[in-house]
Amino acid sequence: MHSPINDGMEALVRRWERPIGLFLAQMTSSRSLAEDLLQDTFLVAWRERARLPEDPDAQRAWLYGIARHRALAALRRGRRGREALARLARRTSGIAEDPQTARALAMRDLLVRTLSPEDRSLFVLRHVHGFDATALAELTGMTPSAVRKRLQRAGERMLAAHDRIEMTIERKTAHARAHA
Amino acid sequence: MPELMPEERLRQIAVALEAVPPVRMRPARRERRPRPFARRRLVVAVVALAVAAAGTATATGLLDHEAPKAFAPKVANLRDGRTADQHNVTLVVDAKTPDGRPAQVWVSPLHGSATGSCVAIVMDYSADPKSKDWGSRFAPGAACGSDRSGAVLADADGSRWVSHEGKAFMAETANAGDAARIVYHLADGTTVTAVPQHERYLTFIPYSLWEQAHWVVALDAAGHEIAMRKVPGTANLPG
Repeated sequence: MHSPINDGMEALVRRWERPIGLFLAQMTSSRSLAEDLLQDTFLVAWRERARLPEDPDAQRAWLYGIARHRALAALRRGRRGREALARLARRTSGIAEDPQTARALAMRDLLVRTLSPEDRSLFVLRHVHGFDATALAELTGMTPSAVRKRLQRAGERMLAAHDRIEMTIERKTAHARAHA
Repeated sequence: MPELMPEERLRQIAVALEAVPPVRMRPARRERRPRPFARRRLVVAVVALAVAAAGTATATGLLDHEAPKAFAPKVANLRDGRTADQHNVTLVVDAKTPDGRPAQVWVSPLHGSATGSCVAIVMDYSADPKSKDWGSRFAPGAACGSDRSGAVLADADGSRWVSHEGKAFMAETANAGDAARIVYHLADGTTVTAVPQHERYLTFIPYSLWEQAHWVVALDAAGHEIAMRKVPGTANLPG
């Protein structure tokens, strides 16, 4: 049986599950936490569906805003222990990842280690998901200049950390390639 | 090799991050395969037996373990050959149907289960003989008593049940963990709340809404979400 509400929600999940799922997987090293957050995001969207914007761009920003808010709240609650466990599980699981995925996960772990959740969310939304400073300002409630400053500092920290870690990433990638 | 500009290096980091495998929505575990005709008939037969046994028990005022005891091994045997321990059935939920009739959930351990799994048996002691779909279902992953091997909300299973007025409901039972309340958020914006007993709940969802996508949320005593699952609609699935 169809209902406009049901159809609308299904369409929303179909349309945004992948990008929001990607964003959340980039925000935390724990897949189980990211999965929880994805469920939470759509649950909140479901509850707040009366506020769902019709404009696709506004809808996108609204959903990313919910996902970011849920992720920051969860990370503030001290779920980092789960992240560490997830990293440990991945290292000890013996499951070989393809080189591209290994590199992506190493980069994600570097991101998690280097940037605070707040800065991480800005960095990922800007550089991976294409939000500009103005859109991020609207999404986060900061001023555009504050967003730019934070993005600049976050970028500098990421590049510095990347320089330090590049060798390790290359080593992990080579290891994955050997076992792929 | 020329040194790359910071913007280009940031772009490369972003490209690497794009290959992080995204997470997906967890699928609900409700079984949605159409029930084969032969198996359906068997369930109906078992239900009829159980209802008859229960009717006798009710008539004599002995609403005890006998009906679920008789029921347990038959229900468990319907799936994957496992058997339930009929001498060890426990009442975990005492509820009411939307008609106000008694309905219960019993659990019985499965033989050979290393994880402490139980079969959950839903009994409607005064079922209308016309509502033959109603009577029993089971959740193979159900946790036994305080055993926490069953994931919260994940083992939900149900049976279609029809009220005296002909309204169809889905009766659902699942492991509730430490939840103080289970809230179904239905497609029309309404909610149905169940209060778990002994870490399990039994609730009745209007069938037309149960067929549509909905969310099930477990809340602790303070109102915090401790588990949730999205249940895709079944109304438009083939078969």
